[in-house]
Amino acid sequence: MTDFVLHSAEAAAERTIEERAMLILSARETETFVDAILHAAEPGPVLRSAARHYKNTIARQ
Amino acid sequence: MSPIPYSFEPLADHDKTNFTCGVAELDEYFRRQASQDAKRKVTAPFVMLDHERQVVGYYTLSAYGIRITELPPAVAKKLPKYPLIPATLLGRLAVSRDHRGQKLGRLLLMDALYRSWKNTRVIASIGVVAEAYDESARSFYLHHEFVPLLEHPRKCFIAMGTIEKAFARM
Repeated sequence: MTDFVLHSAEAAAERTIEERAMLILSARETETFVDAILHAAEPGPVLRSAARHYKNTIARQ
Repeated sequence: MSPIPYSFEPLADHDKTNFTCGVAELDEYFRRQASQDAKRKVTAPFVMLDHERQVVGYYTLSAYGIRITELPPAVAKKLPKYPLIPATLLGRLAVSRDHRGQKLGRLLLMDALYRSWKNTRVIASIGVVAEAYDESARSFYLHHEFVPLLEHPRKCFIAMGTIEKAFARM
């Protein structure tokens, strides 16, 4: 195989790994995302009750 | 107290042959790929076991990065200047078809979030990105207060700060 073919295959493999290992956000999504991390929402009733249920059901340590 | 009905463990030599969730892709992955991925440390699969140590569900976690686009300078100042923001990927989550309707998905999700949060003591992660395999999975995550990512309809996000608030007061 030529170097070119090898390099292309390598580049394609790297791209696949990259796509799996990262998420590239659009400008609109970036806004939503940044807002979510800078002002982490207080957990609402569903999340709170699920966390409580988990604690009561699953013994830890 | 009644006996502990379920437990969670990293996937090891558990019996994978009988597990069926109904989504072919998720079943295939669990039976054929999960152990290999665990060995290679590509993904960390965790199983949920019942009192007879039967697998009733599983999920996978892996390191993930989020690349954001240009930000207004005022916001950019508040964020670290990393090209890639570290996050956790909840790539798969599946409940055995025989155990539907028992809200086991909720326990699986809570274990995944709790574990992701505990891990931030050793590996930074700004939040959890969940990959939804279908519309009902997507509704499940949104119901549990994930935020939708509009241009990635299969993915949604929950901030680690929110997870922390949910579990820190337990």
